[in-house]
Amino acid sequence: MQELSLINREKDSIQYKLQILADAAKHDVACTSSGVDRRGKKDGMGNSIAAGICHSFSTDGRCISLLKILMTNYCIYDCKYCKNRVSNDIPRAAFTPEEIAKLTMDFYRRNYIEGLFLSSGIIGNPDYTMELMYQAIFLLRHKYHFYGYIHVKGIPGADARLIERIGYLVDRMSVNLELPTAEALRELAPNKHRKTILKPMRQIQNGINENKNELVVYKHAPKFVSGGQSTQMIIGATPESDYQIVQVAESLYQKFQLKRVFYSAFVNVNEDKSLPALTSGPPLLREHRLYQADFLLRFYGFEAKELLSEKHPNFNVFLDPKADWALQHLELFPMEINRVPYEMLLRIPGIGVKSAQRIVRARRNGKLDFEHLKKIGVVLKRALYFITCDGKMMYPTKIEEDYITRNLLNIKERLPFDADGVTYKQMSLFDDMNFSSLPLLDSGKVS
Amino acid sequence: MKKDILVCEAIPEGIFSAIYYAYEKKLNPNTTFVQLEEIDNYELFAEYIRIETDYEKAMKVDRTLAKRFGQISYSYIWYAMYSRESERGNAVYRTVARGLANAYKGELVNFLQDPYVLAVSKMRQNVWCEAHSYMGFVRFKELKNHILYSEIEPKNHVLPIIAEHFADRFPKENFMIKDKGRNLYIVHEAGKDVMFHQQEGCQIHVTEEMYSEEEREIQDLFRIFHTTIAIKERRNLELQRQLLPLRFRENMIDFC
Repeated sequence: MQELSLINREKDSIQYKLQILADAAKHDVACTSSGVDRRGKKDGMGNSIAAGICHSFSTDGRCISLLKILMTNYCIYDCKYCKNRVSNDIPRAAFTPEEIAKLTMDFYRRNYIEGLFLSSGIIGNPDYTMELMYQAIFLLRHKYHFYGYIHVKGIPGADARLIERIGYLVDRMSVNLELPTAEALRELAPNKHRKTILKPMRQIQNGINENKNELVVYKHAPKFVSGGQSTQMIIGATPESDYQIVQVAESLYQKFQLKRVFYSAFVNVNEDKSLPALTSGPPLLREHRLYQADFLLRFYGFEAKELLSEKHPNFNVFLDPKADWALQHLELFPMEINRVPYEMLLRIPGIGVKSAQRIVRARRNGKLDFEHLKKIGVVLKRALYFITCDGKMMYPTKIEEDYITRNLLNIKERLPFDADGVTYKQMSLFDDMNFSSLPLLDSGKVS
Repeated sequence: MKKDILVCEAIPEGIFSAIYYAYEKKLNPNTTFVQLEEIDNYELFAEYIRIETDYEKAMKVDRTLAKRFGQISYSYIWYAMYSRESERGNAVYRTVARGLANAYKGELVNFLQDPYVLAVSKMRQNVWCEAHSYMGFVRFKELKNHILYSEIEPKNHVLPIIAEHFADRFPKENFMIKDKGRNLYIVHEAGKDVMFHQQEGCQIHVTEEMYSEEEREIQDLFRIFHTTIAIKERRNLELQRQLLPLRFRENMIDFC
């Protein structure tokens, strides 16, 4: 990267700050730009598209949608998993509110980004930090008339009135759960408490609900966190099972009405003795399985207890959670495509939300056969063991767990990782591993 | 059986003119084909009819479709006409014929068992995906006179779709987007609607010297951000290539 050698090394240059503070924010995963549809306004700049827009992709294959930065990486806390913990000797920097606003506008105007994602280390105290973040966002909305997407992190422990004021300016607010359980939090983040994290989360939820009532009465009432709230937790730093994690996610969706829960495969940046050593890199397969299960919870009508149980607490390494579920419930199959309700279509491996919707719409006008399904986008090589069209299966096949499992495993699953084109690196690793123990963490401390 | 092949200009108005002609002459939709004039693949035992593009007739067809079809089906047909597929003319014609004959109940484009409806649906999907990609991948460069300038090379004709998007997003900016392959421009003047330009002779050449002073600096800032935000433990160039194919990158400033 010869160009980057141009970087200004002076400590108060914007280049230096951006490098420090983007680096410090890179592990944050909750950075989609979706969920809000807003037309532009004549007096300013920006709109928002509900589907979200990716503006670029970094070399790790993750989407760049928002300018994801910390306001500062100075921090009074000492969370063991975090690079910005107070006991680490690292370069520190802080943006001023004006710098954040100007940088966002410069990038947005050239269509580099969809908006701003602003988080921060705790500088001074939570209230002071939140106040500075509020100033940056206030400048963007009122001085620069920016109507693009803004996602801000709620700082646990900040004054409720501050959270409320910010809520009226942003599209999404999220409070990080950090770790799946209160015990894990106590262990690794001694300055944070489950209660102080859940409190602003509840406040935002209540704020959103009250705001909905206001909007019924006054159409032009200002909107409060209209894109909903999300959270994220680190996976693999602490010994929870997948079952525990999925249950936590489920209750966040049900009790806190979150829009999204994000999972972040643990990357060991600190080499702290209380953290597991990851000899085979971050647990990406586990993260992937959790996202798959998360989609099953949100869009496919599954419940956590259907996917996993105390006895079967972790996801199958080789099969995605839906195929795994189907194989445990073969008594329900094969299903008749032309008859079963939408909810059941969703449970058939090889059929996603889009193809299930297409099937329901298309079958109103006549029977569907396998050729139609193929064109509609059903993955027949996966679905064929589980469906009939007009009473017939695609070809004679046994409805038998071993047989179907073997066939499903022959179809290579497309996984979104594996470095630089070397596919199925993980699989070769498993050759000499104990198949039944899922965690990819190679650490004794975890178990 | 007699086969009629209507040869029309490869633009939406051309296709609509052909459809108008087919209805005016009461041609049988099962033996009539619409073919774009850019294809010179003639067959025996067919009658070729050259259709002159008539904007008024095209407008009439457009109004009829807007009135008779649901909003979704109507927009699908428009998207399909922006497709690069050479079969788009015929697929649109056959789909329209099905719709106007009330062959199916419910939203026309849901009837995916019909091969032409399916084709329209796939074209629409392809055009929409590319347009959506360009909403993210367009890069504006600021010129000395503060005009934002961008070049793209889309496979489908996505310019009208993204023009609307950017006009809504940047109402107070003067900007231009050039489709290099089709030699088409859109020009947006602050506070006004988007204008389309197609000028064969007039070439716009934007060179490095025309960029504003700040432009280079802000591009550098974005490259710093782009490089820094990646997690090296998760490096995955294959995935990056899948999601941001190389064909887009030539017109982007993200990579040094």
